[in-house]
Amino acid sequence: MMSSRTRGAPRSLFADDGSPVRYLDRSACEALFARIAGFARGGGETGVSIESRWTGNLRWALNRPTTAGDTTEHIVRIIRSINGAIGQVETNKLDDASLRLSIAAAERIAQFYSENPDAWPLPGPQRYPAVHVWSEATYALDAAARSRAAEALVEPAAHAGLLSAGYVEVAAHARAVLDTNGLAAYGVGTHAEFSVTVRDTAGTASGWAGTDDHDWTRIDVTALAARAQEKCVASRDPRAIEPGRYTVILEPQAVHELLVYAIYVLDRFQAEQTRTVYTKRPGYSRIGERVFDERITISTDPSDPVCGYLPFDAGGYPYRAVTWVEHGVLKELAYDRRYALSQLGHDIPLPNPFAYRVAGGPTSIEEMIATTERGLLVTRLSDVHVIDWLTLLCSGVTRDGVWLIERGKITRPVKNLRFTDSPMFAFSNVAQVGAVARVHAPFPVMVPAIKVRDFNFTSLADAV
Amino acid sequence: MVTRREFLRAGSLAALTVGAGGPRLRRALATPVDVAPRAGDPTLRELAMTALDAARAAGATYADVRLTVTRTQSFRYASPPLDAEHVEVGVRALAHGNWGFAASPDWTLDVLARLGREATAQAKANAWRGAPPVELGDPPPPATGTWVMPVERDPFSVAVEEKLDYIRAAEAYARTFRNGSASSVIVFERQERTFASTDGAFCTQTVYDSLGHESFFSVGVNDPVTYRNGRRLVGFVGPTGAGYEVFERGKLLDLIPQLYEEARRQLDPKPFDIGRYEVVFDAGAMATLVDATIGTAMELDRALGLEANAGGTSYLAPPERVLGSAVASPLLTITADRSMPGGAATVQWDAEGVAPAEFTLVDQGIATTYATDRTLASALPAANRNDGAPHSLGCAVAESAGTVPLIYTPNLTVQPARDGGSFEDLVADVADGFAVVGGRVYMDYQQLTGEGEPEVIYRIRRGKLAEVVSGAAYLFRSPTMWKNLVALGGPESAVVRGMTREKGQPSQRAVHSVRAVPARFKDVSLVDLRGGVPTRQRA
Repeated sequence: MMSSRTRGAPRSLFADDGSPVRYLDRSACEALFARIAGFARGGGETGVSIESRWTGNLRWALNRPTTAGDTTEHIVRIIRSINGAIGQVETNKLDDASLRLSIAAAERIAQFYSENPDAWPLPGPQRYPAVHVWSEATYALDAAARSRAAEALVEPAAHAGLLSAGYVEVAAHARAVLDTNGLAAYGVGTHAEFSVTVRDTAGTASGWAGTDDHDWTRIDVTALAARAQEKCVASRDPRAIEPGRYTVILEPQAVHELLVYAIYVLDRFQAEQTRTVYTKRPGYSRIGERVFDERITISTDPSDPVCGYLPFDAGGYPYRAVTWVEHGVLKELAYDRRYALSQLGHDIPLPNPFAYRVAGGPTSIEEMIATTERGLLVTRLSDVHVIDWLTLLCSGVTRDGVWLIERGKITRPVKNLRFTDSPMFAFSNVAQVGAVARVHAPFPVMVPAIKVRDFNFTSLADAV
Repeated sequence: MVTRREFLRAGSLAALTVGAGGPRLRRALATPVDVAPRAGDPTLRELAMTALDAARAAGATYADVRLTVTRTQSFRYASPPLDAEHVEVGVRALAHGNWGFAASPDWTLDVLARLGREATAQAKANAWRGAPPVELGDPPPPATGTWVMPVERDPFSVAVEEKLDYIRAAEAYARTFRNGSASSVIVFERQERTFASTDGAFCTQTVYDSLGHESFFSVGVNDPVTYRNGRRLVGFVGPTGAGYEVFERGKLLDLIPQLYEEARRQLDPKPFDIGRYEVVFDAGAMATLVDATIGTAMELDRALGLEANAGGTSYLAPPERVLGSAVASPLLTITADRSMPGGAATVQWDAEGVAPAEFTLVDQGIATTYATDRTLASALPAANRNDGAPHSLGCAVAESAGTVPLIYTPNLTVQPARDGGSFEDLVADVADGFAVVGGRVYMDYQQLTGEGEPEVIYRIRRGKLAEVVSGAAYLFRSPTMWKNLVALGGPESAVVRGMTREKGQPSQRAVHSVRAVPARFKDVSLVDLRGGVPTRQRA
């Protein structure tokens, strides 16, 4: 049933070869589920959701390693559904005695929550798309390899009298969702994350670059480190400019840091029953209406070869390829099983993975600069928060490099600024769209650089 | 930006909230999962020593081991309560002058020995050419013994239905008001921490964090015609080093009518003129401001640049220039401790086995020291060490044994003005200004500039609170704001607020408390957040 195919499938955790247990493989998850289900008392259904993860990381600052570690963790959530009542507990103690206590606790909570009018069966078998999210290179990047890679990156910064701080993390993440109705989802993927900040010793200039990918070999760490260093050097001696409305060229990282809030509220129930930016009027969403500039198309696909992800969520429901926004028009909003049952007459939810891709455009950042009479080039945004969820009005600050553009040329670095604007406004005021890049984000995200008119800077934020 | 932690939480919760109707409170729920070794169990010592021996044998010059059993119970909106228990063990080793770390959920002798070896191998792998070694300095007196945070009612000995009864009754009561509503996330946590080190420490302590994590209880009112809404949070909900009693004593039901009234006043907010005003902060807003600015900025790792690639650095840097200089009005004295009764950061020993010091961060406006741990204590200028020796002030925290210790803000106290009065007294001295009640403060990555968004902001006219105004926020630069502090409340006006701090890579979290008094500032810049935004999108 399950088809999260992985190349180079890893060895069993419980293989007796002396290798450390790094994450639970499929057979280990199935055996764990069988044990848990066997401890159930009182009939009904049993569901188990397992998140098992190995993480290796290295952190450095001031051109030297600061912390490094290898961590394994498992989180097992047990759901008991008895006559429609639900009880759940979470544990990582996997011995029989502990599991018996855990499932008994779930059963007691279920008794407590009995006669649930919204009851429905646990999911049962599901179909999932094939995905490509496993990288042997990522899984093999051990402590020594991480250290060698980072040391090589720090040298150019140190040589130039600058300070490098950064982070490398590699992980393997297995997710299994099983239930007594026949659901047996298992998937495993890798994840690699890299980011680096280069600062001058006086603390007056800072540059950053970062990304993530399931495949470590697709991250050009040398180029990213060089970019952070160039940005640091090029942002020295910034001058303050007046806040106000500017044409801004948002690099992909900055686009994501603003747009992510519009992704977060792609939800039908919220749009119809509460009020969000996707609400037309009470009870109705804006599906079918223009919400962004016509050059903005937002989609997600677990099978995407460059920003794919495990094809099911922690409830075992499939992620599907969806176009949320097409040429600026809202096409679809996510919904859960409760919504599907009550509004759509079926029981398959459409979960939002938060992973997303925005279609690219033809304009390079160089062309965007060349065609800007007066504007700003923004590396990234930081400390963004939502002021008003009804309009997605956000506030945050620029970080790690802002430059003034005058008559088609970058003329000087400027001090950081605080903005107050909404992604709904900004990405309706699009001037040009560039090439897409994978950005540094908690989920796979590919977005282009976008030139936006009249972006609203409200005050100076002269931190570095 | 939304952190990974928040995303993961939102994602898995959305998927797992399988739907629960109204609870039928039928019978008591016995205390669930609770079978890990507790303090005093000889297994703990054996496990710890196995890890330390393995690290030493592998060449570590220092090693420590943490074992944690974390129990949480959360009540989230209408979902069934969720009980969770996580056991973790982490070993940290110093070899060739570098740190290594390895962690696992498995408490077996084999795994502990492997973690000891792996942590040491990690450390050795990180010996870079030319990098200065970590200097731990003299070891602290070995932490030995057992300590349990004094609580009256362990939240896990209180039946689930008693808690649920209380929460649901409060929610139902709020709904009896016209267009009223309430929503809540209430989390209880207990963590049993065992620590041992090659310096001879072996100790176990039990700490509680009631109403922490993302806990809140809010009373709201929605106008179905205008879509306007008002919302007030219950002040005492936030990380607290106490048991269930803190929740019971909060007297939630008694607070609801007033919170509803305050929320209702927000439905008809009045416009105001942006400008610079005299502004009174209530004690809760002051606690938030202190924490977001000076509290965060005086974590030594931030000031030195170790967080540059994550949360950022500090405007109070470099330490050798900041220490001994004025960072605030002479009215401001901030002391720090990890012994405050009810303090969310209160412990007997920190995550490195150091008995935390009571110290002064800011003395009459002058910066006196930073929050430190063992790794960085030696980085402080010698003149600013307590007795000239580089020793930690005990500010190391590991969220659990699965994470490495980092420096976190301890409990802070804003010393009251000896003859200061109440919030109302401070308001009474303002002819024309504003009063900020609660809310949040959003800083940049150096805590240099910020935007405060009050939960409620009142106009003050002739010494009295007048209308609630709409969309007002305050913009500030920290050094100027603290220079413009003109009055503080007295001892009777103090409140304690729990705070959460996320930092590090991977991101981790710790909690602490801030005890603060109301304050008055001059020349605070008020802006209209919604005023600066186009009402119509440009075609």
